[in-house]
Amino acid sequence: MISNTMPGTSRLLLAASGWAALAATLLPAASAERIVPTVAFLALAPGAAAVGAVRRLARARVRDDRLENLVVTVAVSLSLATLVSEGLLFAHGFTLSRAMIVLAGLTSAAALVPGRRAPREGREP
Amino acid sequence: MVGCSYRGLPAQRAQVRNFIGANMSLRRGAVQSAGGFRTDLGRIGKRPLGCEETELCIRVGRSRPEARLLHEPDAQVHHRVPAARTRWSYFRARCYAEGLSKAAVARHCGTDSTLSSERRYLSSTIPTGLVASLRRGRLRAALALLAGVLLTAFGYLVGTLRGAPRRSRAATISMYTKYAAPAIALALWLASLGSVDPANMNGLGLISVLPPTYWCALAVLVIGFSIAVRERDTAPVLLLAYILILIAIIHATPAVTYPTLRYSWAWKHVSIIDYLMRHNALDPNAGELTAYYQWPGFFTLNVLILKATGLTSALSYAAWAPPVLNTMMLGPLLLIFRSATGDRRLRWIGVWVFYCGSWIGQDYLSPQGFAFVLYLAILAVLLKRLTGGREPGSAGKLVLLLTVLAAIDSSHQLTPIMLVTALAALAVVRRNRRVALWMLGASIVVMAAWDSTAARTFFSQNLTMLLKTFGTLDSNAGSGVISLASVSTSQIVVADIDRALSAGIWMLALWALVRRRHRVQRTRLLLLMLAPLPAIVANDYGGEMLYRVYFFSLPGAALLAAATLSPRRRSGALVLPTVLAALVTAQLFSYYGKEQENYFSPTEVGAAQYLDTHAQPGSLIVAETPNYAAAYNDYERTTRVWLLISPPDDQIKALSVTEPVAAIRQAAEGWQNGPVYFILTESQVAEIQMEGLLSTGGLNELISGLTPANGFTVVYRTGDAAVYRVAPPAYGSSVTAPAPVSGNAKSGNP
Repeated sequence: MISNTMPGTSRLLLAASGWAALAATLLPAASAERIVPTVAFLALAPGAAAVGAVRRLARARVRDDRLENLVVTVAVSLSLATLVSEGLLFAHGFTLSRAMIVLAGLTSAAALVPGRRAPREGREP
Repeated sequence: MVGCSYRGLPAQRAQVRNFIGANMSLRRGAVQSAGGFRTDLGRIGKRPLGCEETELCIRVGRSRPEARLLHEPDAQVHHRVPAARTRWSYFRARCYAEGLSKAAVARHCGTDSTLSSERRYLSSTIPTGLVASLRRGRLRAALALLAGVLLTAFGYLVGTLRGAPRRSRAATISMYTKYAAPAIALALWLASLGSVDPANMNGLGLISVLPPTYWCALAVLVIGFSIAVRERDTAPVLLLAYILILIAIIHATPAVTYPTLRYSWAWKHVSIIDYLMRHNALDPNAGELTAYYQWPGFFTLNVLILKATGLTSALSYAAWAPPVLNTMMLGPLLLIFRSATGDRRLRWIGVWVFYCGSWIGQDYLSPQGFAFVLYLAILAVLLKRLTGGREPGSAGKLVLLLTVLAAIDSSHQLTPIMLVTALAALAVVRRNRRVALWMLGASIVVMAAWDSTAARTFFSQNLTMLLKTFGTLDSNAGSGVISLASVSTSQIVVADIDRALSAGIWMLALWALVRRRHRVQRTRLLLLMLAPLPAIVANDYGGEMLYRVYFFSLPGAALLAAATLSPRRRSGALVLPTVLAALVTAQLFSYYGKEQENYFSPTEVGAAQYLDTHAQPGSLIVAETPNYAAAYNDYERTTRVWLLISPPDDQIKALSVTEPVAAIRQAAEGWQNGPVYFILTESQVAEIQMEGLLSTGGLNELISGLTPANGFTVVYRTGDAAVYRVAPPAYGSSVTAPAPVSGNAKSGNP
């Protein structure tokens, strides 16, 4: 799910996930259709995009460690959500849409980071 | 009916695994070269055994891989079905016998080919049939279908056991046990939850109201896990299921059975999040809560989650924080253990030891619980780089960890220090030291940056206190731990058990260093285990330092302990389940030993919420301790005094123990900003009794002295809590002697 072998559409979906989560915040408060996408985005997407970007930028092939990818994905996602919300509150500028836009932007940017050797990607080592 | 033609068979001519004996034909050569029918299968006498044709077809398929067995759906078969075969009794016997027959075929042909069609049948035909019957309202047909499947499965089980040679019979039993145990344990646990009534707890806590089914669930889990973890071929996902069920049994029980959020500190953290939700800003004048706003990361994260989901308060999910946080610890823990040993059995036993040894209770809705998960994640990623070779691309993930580092440093004051000591300890080993030093340097820089800017106020305010306690090893280590003189008898039992549990795990860990039987990274694990110790010299952390040090030493200690426990010989087979059972029992005593004070009944919560909503802004709330629900709700509107925990001055401190009623009046004296309230609840009384904060006489004096004559007017009262308005100082200058002790003080009816 978070490897450089990810097909293009998955990466595009990941890049769009934050904006979808932002749109989901318009749904009725505390409804399942709002809770599931927003929590899933906050807990997984920024980290997944970052881990993917790091793998694509690596000079050589990295052996996929799925457990480590999952751990880093969750830890980085929640850390980014923490830092963004904290920064906005310290700056007296916290709003939901601002926080979500920053996180969605970071996720999109990381998901769209190109690989070093683009043509050879998409194959298992 | 299992073992006949059924919906789901190919509708056009197609290849099948086997024919059905009612109408089949094979080439003579194929049958002869395969060796013909077996004579020990099939119907003998009246019992409806069968499957001899299945076994033959599988054998033909194997002896001639090019052979194709074709199913012709247009072929019509006329089969006489006697009336007896339309009865329930025949259906029952037929299904059971089919199971026996399948087991016999499996013995000859192996389970893979024997059960391939059956798996398909179970996963698609049966569910379709069930849905179809239910849709037509034929409940009995659906039940019969289900019963047929269960009977067949039972027959298969019996057939497998009966047919197995004596030596492998034990292996078969253990195989079924290890697969069935998690499901049985889960079912027993779920069944037990209905009869857990937290209102009936005694001084031993939750353990006093756990029904026998709960203990059966744990026993089944322990036995199954001991078998599963010993066998090398056990699938990791099965072991994962065991651990998740263990986490659920330990940590989800209160979430399901308590009607309200447990633990006053969790309520306090909910109140901080509520403040942020109300004001959309940090609180610059938070008084005793200042530290929370200087390390606010965890709380702001919750604000973001609440706003994103549209939930109004963290109260809606706070009760589930312990199972969720513990589950989140599992990934990093397994990663750490994987770097430290190649022996999979050790890792899973280590995980069990960790969850049973982690009784300190740092896993509720709290900054430290969250920061601990992140702390483990950093150690996990780093350890892999330290123990493995230099992997290309590994630097990238370490850079990503800088965000995690910043989140820890801005969320909790103690965890960054523990991280620094752990990283420094890991840098002792020469191999890949540069990586450890790099991470250590980064963690020191980020911590120093945060503590000298955002958290500067806290440090400058508390510097004298921090310097005073630095180096006073005796009092730091002993603080809050050693003195058991005044606590209740039940709490002495609980304290004995939690000390034995902690010391036991440490001793098992140290024993692994002596015995050196398993291939584990002893040095690094020992360093991780010892790394938190210097913190004892530095500070007493409000009397909790020794607990926290133990907690941070646990990941290293747990895996080393597992190395001692992992059985090598058959003779030691009973040792493992015995120790695992002892560990989980001790965990339940230790973790839930103070539940009498951590549980808040709905009526008690009602009283606290009454006070919260009815106290005018500027009110003074006096209480013996903050150990009640919602003690900090809307805290900015009122002022709070905790007489026994943080008395405003030495005079009140002395009075609150000797003359508790006078101490309340004294604390109220001179308050001009609004009315003064006093709240006393069952959970506070439980805390006072269990921790020995007041003598029995003192407590009785307090309870019987809350009278109108002494200036206390009841404004709200339930069975287990009361809120009083305390008369202004002009009411009277002296406190009248308390009425004789009523004798019902222990019932806590204030």
